[in-house]
Amino acid sequence: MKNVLVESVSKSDWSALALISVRHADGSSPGQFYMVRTGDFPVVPRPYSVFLEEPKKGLTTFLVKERGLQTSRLLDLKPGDTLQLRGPFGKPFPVLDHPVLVAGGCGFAPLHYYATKYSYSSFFLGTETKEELAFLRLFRNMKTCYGDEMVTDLFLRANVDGPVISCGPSRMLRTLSQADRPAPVYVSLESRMACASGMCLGCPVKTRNGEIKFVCKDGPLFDGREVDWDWLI
Amino acid sequence: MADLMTMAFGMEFSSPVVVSSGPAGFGSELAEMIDMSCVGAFTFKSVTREERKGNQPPRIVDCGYGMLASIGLQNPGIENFISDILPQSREWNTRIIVSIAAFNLEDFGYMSSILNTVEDFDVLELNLSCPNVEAGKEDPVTDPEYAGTVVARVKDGFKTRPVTVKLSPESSPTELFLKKCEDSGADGFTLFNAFHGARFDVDTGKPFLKRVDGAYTSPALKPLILRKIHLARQITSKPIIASGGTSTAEDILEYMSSGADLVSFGLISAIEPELLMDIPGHLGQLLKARGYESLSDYRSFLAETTKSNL
Repeated sequence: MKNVLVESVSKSDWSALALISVRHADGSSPGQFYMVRTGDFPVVPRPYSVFLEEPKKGLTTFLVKERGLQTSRLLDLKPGDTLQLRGPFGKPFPVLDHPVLVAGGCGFAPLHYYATKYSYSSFFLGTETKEELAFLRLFRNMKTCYGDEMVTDLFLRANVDGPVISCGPSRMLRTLSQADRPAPVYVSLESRMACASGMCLGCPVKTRNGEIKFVCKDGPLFDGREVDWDWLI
Repeated sequence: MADLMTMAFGMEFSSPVVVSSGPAGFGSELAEMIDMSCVGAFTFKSVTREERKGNQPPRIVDCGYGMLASIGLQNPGIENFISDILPQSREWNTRIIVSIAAFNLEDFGYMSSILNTVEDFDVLELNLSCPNVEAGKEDPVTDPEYAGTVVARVKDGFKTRPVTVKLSPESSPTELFLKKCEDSGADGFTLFNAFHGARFDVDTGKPFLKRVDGAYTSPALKPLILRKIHLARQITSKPIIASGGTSTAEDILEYMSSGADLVSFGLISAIEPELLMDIPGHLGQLLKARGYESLSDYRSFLAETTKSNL
């Protein structure tokens, strides 16, 4: 693991979400992720997609939501603290012609980097709370929702053409993949993992032809129509 | 740097650092990240007679002090392993341990007799302990007589190299399993496979892992494994590959003090594989700092200490 310094930490109201910037820029691409931990405990690092890399400033930023042991420690970080990283891992998202981006919660992170780097503007975002949305709403003309309104409904009602790249909870990605639309749906899958390089076999995805692939090595982006969702969820 | 060469199973290992079976899979990814010659031996993930797709996800859950994994012996089957995977290890310049698992005596016998004439490896690990699959009707984890029967069948077909038997820490009494396996021809032991564990989501009340239980790996297991290896050393004089709870070069000295000959690293091989390249150098420094020119000098010191304690 590489030790890097925390440059800044900004939090949403109620501290549910945080953007943590670290002094590190290693040429990551949108869609790639790092294995991150705060120290010797918890022992196993967690994967975090890059929210933004700013090479000139020498900064990489991650979006964190409190979920468990590792994230609660990440939310306690202050500027000047140390974070441990390995990566970047995973295949970069491909550059597409006018894709539609659909994000749920922290699935916003890789799509934020993707939209920023390639100036994509068709963007749908759903969050759990109003406060999270206020914290994350960073692009003009985004279509947003929160609470009980599902981002998948918002997107499907809008009837937008073009390929979709989506990241968020697995059930949301399944709904999008199974929607009756002619254009492809690419899903960026989240999974618990240990090695991030394909050797521990901890983050499997079964394709409809029965092949086992891995989120860390073959993904995180998959053709949503190729994923065996009944096996995955 | 101190000489780390160590003898076990009648052969030289360039260092006592062994990569455990499992967390580093079939080695190709690890070989891209580290110079494999920095470890004394690499152990392949256990292979079965037929291909296995492994368990449904989730397969991994964090436990703070460690991790639960429920992979389900995903592997390409023995024939594909021999033809497509094993030959890649020729370039790794380290000792190679092949690991096999099965659900009945016939499959154990079949695989070991095939491997008898296959080159490109040095030691056969007999996995009598995988915690993440349904056991067969006869279970070598719970039945010491059957564990001995499996060892005898494997030794009957596999005569060209040593066999190390990997036991579960939950196979009890350990003493009886060691004796039965040794009496049946085991050349050494890999002690131990992982403990079973489980975690539950308090919001849903459901287990995190699809199959509920998984293999618990953690540096916090170190004292439990050290004690069990110390007890095993009173039972057998065969080589012992320590496994479980290891994460540092200091651990190698402590596991050797408890009775181990080689020391394997599992969780660390997956989450921080680069550390495998640092551990031999650090071990050399630890030996130098204690005035030893070589690891064999340290082991001689341990042998003398053991004698004087008798």
